[in-house]
Amino acid sequence: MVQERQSQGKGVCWTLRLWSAAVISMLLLSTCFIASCVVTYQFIMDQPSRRLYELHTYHSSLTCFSEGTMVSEKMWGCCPNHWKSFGSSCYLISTKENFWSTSEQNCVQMGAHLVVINTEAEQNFITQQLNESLSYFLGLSDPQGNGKWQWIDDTPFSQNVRFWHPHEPNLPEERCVSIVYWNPSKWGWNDVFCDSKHNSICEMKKIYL
Amino acid sequence: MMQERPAQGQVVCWSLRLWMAALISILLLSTCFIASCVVTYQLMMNKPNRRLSELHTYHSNLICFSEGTTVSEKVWSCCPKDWKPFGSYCYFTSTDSRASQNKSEEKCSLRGAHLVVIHSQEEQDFITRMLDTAAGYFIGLSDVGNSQWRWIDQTPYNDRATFWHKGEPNNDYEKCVILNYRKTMWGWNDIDCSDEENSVCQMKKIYL
Repeated sequence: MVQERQSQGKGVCWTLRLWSAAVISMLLLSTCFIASCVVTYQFIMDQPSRRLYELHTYHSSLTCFSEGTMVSEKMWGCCPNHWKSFGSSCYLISTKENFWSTSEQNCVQMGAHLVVINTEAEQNFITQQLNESLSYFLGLSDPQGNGKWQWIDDTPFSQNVRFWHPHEPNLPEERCVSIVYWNPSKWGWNDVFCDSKHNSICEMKKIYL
Repeated sequence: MMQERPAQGQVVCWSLRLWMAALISILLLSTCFIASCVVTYQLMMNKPNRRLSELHTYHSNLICFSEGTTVSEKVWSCCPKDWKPFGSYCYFTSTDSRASQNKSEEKCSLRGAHLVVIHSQEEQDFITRMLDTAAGYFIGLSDVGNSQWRWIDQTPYNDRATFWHKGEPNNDYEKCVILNYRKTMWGWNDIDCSDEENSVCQMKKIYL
């Protein structure tokens, strides 16, 4: 009787150990499998590939520049041909005068949006491309006319740089913004009517390869 | 006694079935894990990315063109700036200085390329449109002995896709080849490998 019990006890322990090992193995393998699936998914959903495909429908050629500083191991920064490259963005100066909303639509049709200015260096770069006798829509507007300006890409306005001309903005009815050259303050921002016609500047993020 | 035996048998069957299920599960999971690791590895070792890294050391600009026909879902094909695209290759004419065949190949290598390998009449026609009729250009073809011509990238030498000038090749000791213009046409001429000529470099396009 006693021997039988001991024998049975040992058997049960042995079986439990084996089952534990089996279950642990399965759990480990499941975890590894799920982890590697997630990694694979990340690769497949890689942003550059998707954006490259999107741009394919808007543009017929790209120019890629070797980036000295490697951005997460990506060594090439690409812009569509004829777009200007600066920092991590590409820019195109539109030479057609249009309403603000039409200008934005035209940018969107190229996979871009009206320009959002984040730094003084960026504004300096942009203004070097511009004609001093023209004005250009920015991606900045005050849709409600209550002084709450907003960038078109949702960059917070309150924390961002501002380059208004002196005494601007000056009219609640002027709910869109253009960049324009005035003496003596040179390039700066001016609030304008959204349904007035101006040139515009499109911006898109570079594609990094 | 009789009852005991069937009971024990049943228990054994039950355990075996469970163990079989467990083993099969583990095998399936192992297979899935290995398969997904292989897939991930393939993606990581994706050729364009490696070539992009390599090209980074040779060139500072790439120009990419939209591909009408999608080559395995790649919608862009790229060549370094100032290189000319044709088919699935990029071409560059080296005219900065004449050099021997070895030196010419070295210069191509320094650009991540090799001396040109010509596969068809159309390709040769395209290349020669870039060239100066007064000059000769090394191509990536040489005689490794006994008139055994060999392309530098191991492409099999195809007698039906050769464009020798009439009467060429004409000397056993001339073991390298240039593309040059004679009378009214471009063709191949065997020359001494130490002669100094211009050259044409070729590399595969990068597909994105």
